[in-house]
Parts: sequence; C-alpha cells; structure tokens
Amino acid sequence: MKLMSATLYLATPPEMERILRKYSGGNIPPLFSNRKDEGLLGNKGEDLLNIYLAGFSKTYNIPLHLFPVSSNHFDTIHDSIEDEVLNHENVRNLILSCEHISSTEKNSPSLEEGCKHCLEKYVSTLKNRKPIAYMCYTGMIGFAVPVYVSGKVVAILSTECRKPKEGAIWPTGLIKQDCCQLHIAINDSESEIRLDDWQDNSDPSEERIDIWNESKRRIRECEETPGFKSNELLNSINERVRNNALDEVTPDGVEKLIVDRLEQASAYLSDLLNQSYRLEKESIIGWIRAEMASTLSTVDGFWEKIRWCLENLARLLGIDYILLISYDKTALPSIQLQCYCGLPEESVPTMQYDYITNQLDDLIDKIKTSERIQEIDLVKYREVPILSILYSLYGKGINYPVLTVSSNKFDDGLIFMTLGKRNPTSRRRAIVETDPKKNAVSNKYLENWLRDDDQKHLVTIARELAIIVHVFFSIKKMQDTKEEQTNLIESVAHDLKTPINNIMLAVDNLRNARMSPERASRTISGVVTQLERLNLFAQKAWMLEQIRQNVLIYNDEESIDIYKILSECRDMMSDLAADKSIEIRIDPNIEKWRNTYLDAEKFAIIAMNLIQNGIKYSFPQTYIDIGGWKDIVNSGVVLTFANEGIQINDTEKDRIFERHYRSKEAIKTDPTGSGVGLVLVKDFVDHYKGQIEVRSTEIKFGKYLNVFSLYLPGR
Amino acid sequence: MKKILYIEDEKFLLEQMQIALEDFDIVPASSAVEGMEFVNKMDFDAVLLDIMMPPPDDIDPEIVGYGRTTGVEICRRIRNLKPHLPIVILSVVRDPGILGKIKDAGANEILYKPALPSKIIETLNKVL
Repeated sequence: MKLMSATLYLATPPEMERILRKYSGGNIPPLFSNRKDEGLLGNKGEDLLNIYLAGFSKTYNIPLHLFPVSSNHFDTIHDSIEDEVLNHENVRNLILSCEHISSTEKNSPSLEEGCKHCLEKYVSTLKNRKPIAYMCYTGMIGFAVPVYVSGKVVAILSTECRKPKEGAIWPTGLIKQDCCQLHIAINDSESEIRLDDWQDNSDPSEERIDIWNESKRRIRECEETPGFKSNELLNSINERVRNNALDEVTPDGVEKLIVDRLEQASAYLSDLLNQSYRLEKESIIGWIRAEMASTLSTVDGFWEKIRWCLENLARLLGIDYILLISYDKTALPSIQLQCYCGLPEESVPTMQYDYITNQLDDLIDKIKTSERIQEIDLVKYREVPILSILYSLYGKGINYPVLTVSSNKFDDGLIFMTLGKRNPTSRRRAIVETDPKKNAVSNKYLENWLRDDDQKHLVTIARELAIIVHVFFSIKKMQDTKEEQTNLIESVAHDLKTPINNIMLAVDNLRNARMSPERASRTISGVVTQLERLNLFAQKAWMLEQIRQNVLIYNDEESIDIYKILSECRDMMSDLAADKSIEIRIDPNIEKWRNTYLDAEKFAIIAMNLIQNGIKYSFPQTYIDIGGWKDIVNSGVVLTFANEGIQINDTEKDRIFERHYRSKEAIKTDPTGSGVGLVLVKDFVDHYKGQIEVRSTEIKFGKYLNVFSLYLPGR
Repeated sequence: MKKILYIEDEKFLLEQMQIALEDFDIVPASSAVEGMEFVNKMDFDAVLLDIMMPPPDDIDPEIVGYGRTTGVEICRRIRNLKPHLPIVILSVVRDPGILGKIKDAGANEILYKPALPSKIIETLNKVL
C-alpha cells in the first residue's frame, strides 16, 4: 500500500502564511490569539501545537502531516461532525477515511507530489477550529486540526506525538472533551497485537487531572513490557497491513497504521526529546524577535506588539504573569539590562519594602487569567526606591523573579518586569522570610518555576526588548526633537516679533498724532514696557549662549540690595500684570536684608523671569507673592516666588529646568515662550551652590499655589 | 464705517490697532472665546485674527499645537458659520505647513508680523 499522507515541511511562519494564502485566497489570521474567534489555531493549541504549526518544522525537522479525508466518506463524516467541536468519534472516523488508506492507485505520486497535490486539492482554507488532543498508546500526546473546504472537513493536519511537557496544565476542554485514547495490549508470548477501539474517557476529570502521570505510566509500561521492541512492533503492524487486501482494510488495521505512524513519531521524537524543547523554544523566540523588530516599522501599536511578544513569551515559558511596571513611558531607556539576584535586605527600608510587596501581592491577586500581562504605572511611587525593592525580591523565594530594563539613572527606570507563577501559599513566605535556611528552601521554588535556561532566554529577550524600546524611543525622540525645534523657532519668532510689532505700531500711532496727550503718554509707557520685554529676551538669550559656551562669569563681589532689585523688576512687569489684574507683592521684610553678595544683573534677570512666569501662568485677579527669609547663621537667603495658577505636575518639576522644555499645560495657557528662563534660574542657583524647590499645591478646584523656593547660601 | 472684529490676546496691540485703524470700527476681542461670541452675536465686514493664542476649552489643545495654531481652528469655525465673511490672519511665522493649514481653513489673506498700519489697511481694503 502506498501511503498518500503528505508530510509538510514549512520553513517559517511567513512561508506558511504565504502558502496558505496562496491556496485559500483569503487572509490568514494570526497563529496566536487570545480572542476566542481569532487565531489560526484558536487559543487552545498551546505551545506544542503552535510550535509545530508555526512552521519551524524544516529547520528542526519536525514534520506536520496532512491526512486527506476520502471523498467517499466526505458527506457521511461531515454530517456527523458538529460545527464547533470534533469529538473523539469524529476524529476516528476522519482518520479512518483518510485517502492514503483507501487509495488503490498503483502509480501513486511521490511524496512531494502528494504534498503539492494535497495542498492544491484540499487545503483551500483552514478555519479556526479547536485542535484535538489525543494520547496514543505510548503515552505520547498528539494534536490535530481539521482542514475545511466550504465548511466541510477534507483533511486532518496533524502533529507527531510527543511526551507531554512535565507539569503542563492542559486547558479545560482539550483533553477532557476531545481526548481519544488508543489502548494496546501486547501479548508477550505471541507478540500478537490487539488494538482496542478508540475510547472515550469514562471519567474525563481524572484524565485531565493527571495527564502527565498517565502519560508517564504508559511510557514506562511500554518500556518495561518484556518483548516490547519498537521495530518488532512496527514490522508486525506493517506485515499485517501488507497481508491484508485493501478492500479488507478494517478499522483495526487502520488503527494499526496509525499506531505505526505514532511509533515512528515516537522513535523520532525520543531522539529529540531532551533537546527538542529547547529547539522549539528557540524557534519561537526567534519569531518573537522578528515580531519585536517589526514593531519599529510602526509607531502605532508599538506597545501592543511588545505586549504580544511578552504574552507569547510568558506562555512559552509557562509563566503565569508579567507585570510591566513603568515610571514614565516617555522617558528614554538605555539598553542596559540588569538581572539582579537580590540586594541585601538591609539596603531597603523595611516599611517601603513591605508596602511595595503588599502592593504587588494585591496586584497579582487581581490579575485575571485572561490578562496575563499587567501594566502598572508607578508614578505615584516615584519617591519609593521600587527598583531596589524589586531587585531585593529577586531570588528570594521567589514570587517575584525580577527582570529589568532600566535606564542609566537608577531612579529613572523605565520598564521592568516581574514574572512568575501564582503560588499564594509560598508567596507570603517569600516576602517575610529572611532566614537563610528558609531562603534556600524558597530558592528551590525558583528552580521549579523559572529554570536556569529559561532565565537565559528571558535575559536575552529582555535585552533585545530593551534595544527595541531604546531604538523606538530614539526614533520618537528624534521626531519630537524636530517638532520641538520647529515649535521653538515659532516661539522665539513670536517673542521677538511681537514686541517689535507692538512698538512699530505704537510709534506709528504717535508719529501720526492719532491720539490724545494722555493716551500718548500711556502709549509711550507701553512702548517702554515692550522695549523692556525685548531687552529681557535679549539678555536671556545672551546669558543662555554664555552658559552654552561655558563662559558665563558671575560678579560675586558686589553687595546688592535685593529688595531694590525686586522692586524694579516688579515695576517693569506691572503693565503685564495689570493686563490680568494681577498684583505683585513683595515682603517688606526683605528690605532689611543687608550684605547679600550676588550678581545684581543676573539676579535681576532671573527674578524678572520668575515674575514673568508667575504672571503668564497665573489666573486673573490673583497675586504674585515674593517673600523669603534670611539665614542669619549662614548669611544666606531663601527667596520664594508664589503664584496661583495651573498645576506643575510632579513629573514636570525636574523637566521644567531643562532647556527649551515647556509643559503642555504651560504651552496651552500661553503658547509663546521659548523655555529658557528656568534654565537660567537653575544655573544661577547652581553657581551659588544653592538649591531650588518647586511645590504645587491645590488650593481650590483646579487652582494651584505654585512656589519656587531659591536657597542661596551666604559667602 | 466698516466693522472689523479683531481677535488678539495682546492687549497693548489691541489698543494700538484700534488707534491705528481709526477709519474702521474695530471691535476688540482679547481671546478666542470672546471672538467667537462676537461672531455669533454680531455682523462684521471682516475679521482680523491672530494665529497664536491660548486655545479655548472646547478645542483639543493637541489639534492646535497647544495654542500655536489656535487662530487656524477659529478661522475654520468662523468660515463654517459665515462662509462669505472675509478673514485676515496675522502670523509671526512663515512655515509652509502652517500656511497650508491657514488656506485650508478658509482665510482670505495672511499678514506677517511686524506689519505697519498702512499694510494692514491695504489688506483689509483688499478683502472688503
């Protein structure tokens, strides 16, 4: 008998998709999917089936088999098949009806031709159906999916059988509902083979609960059976089949053939058993890498793709959850990867440690099965050294194996992942135990949950993930920088041209005597204000350029009258303040300050800038309060500039001192401005080895009291 | 006397423009919101509109570059309300991208700052 089954060797998933698309003319859904009705293989196939059907068979010589269903049986079989689920009976019928069994052609096509023939003739569409899992007599597990044409089953695409993964949890409804058991009893003396019929599980729950042990038991049984020799068994089956006329092929004979094939698969896989898992995993990781790389081609959906990769990684490695924790997605990460094995516990304050671990416990408890990857924004924990805590958790027990992708700055980490399995009983223990002996016990859990080789893969993937994210953000930053530069040019143009425009207009009005003397006086005053505005802009630009060239010199030798300078600044800004009915108040006590040594000119610039900002971002009819106190002991001063206006977010408190940075809220409030004023303030304070602090406190709904405190130590 | 709505958030400029354009009846609006209120309530012969202004609450700040192109969106809204009302936009930048947006929004003329009163009057007379 000539076997007509086709063994498909597909090189890569794209190739598989290409072939399927060619023959089906339709869109091939993704292989992996968590959604019920998506994914080429649905969401029940799990690792094994995905690995096989992912098309790495060529690379790693893992075949897929296509068993065409005989057209003679087509209608009968299809009638008995439910729309959604193939039960064991249907599987049996389908396999029995495979064309290779009933073919009588003498000049059968070669394997390659058969493969092509099958594809062209039968594989025109592969719909999303539940794969069928079955356990063969050797204890191996196989998977199969039906191939449909116009809603009718024409073939079965099947994997080889293999040992189930130790500790694998089989999805509800897979083995339980669709498992077919093929029992075989071997007569020692006669080597006679009796094949039992496909049998349903009388107690499916038992089967499901301990599929691994059942598999092991059968494998052991086969191995320990005296006289059991795979070759003899194979020969025996083949001989029996050969001796039967094709017309006389019985279901038993067919099943023997199936056994034959399974035996071949078993032998084949037994050689690969120890390494195939790795090979397959590496193949999948290769695919994940390709997907990760492809994320760069599109800005949209970047994080969704990254999540997709992690999701599959988690599934592949048998990880229950991944927590993606980020402080700020917009920050630029470096390509550093840090995989710590635990910091000394003393390095983390107990309170914070407990707090964070409890938070993580709660989060993990809340993770739904369907949402394996959780994304957590920890901006509010900015002050907590969460990275330290998570590092310290790593290797401790281990509920939270921690893998991080972090930036160079320790407190500015972008993303890190904690991954592991839910295990409520040991989780608590892992957090609280500090006894080294108990830790040793806990580390054993780690070994079980995350094997060394898995960790290596994770490290590799995380590193690549970091690179991808890094590149992504580099591209994005380049785009943002370009946009920022355009915006900056616009803002500078506005800052320069607006006062010039105002002055030109006012002077033109004055020259043409278009106004009364009183109004002319007001206009001249306005022109002076516009000139001061221009002058301030020029001074700021000049100072900034000197800072950039590192040639800015501060004159520290003069004792200045702070109150007088502040009063002058207030007067210069009074028109601007008056436009918004804002009053600028200076604490009269400042007048008493003496012997303060600062650069008067630069102090005036930064004071004016702080007042100008206060006016810009304040609500109308409010106050700008300038206060402070003198540090008599150190002869230093603390100056505060307070205004009532829009909020300064925590995340922006540092960034507002960056060159050209302007918060979106600030731009929205006043689109003009070039974002350099606070750079000068920072440089000024740094020069005097002082400190600057920004506070933003809500005093009324949507109204914030913003205070810039400048501490300038004495000489 | 032709009635011109002038929408500009710089109060000094608003005042000076009123003086400079003495041959017109200038109605000043110091914000986009106020400007739209006037458009809804009154009839004008033309609108002078600054492009860079804080956006009103009902405009997504991102759409108008956080205020950099608020005038473009206001222009579009005015055009939708009053298809034949001449609109002159005042801008400090000559970015081709923004110019395209201004034209798409339905502005009749663009004036670049700094602009002398004579130039503004000439442009207004052109569109009226």
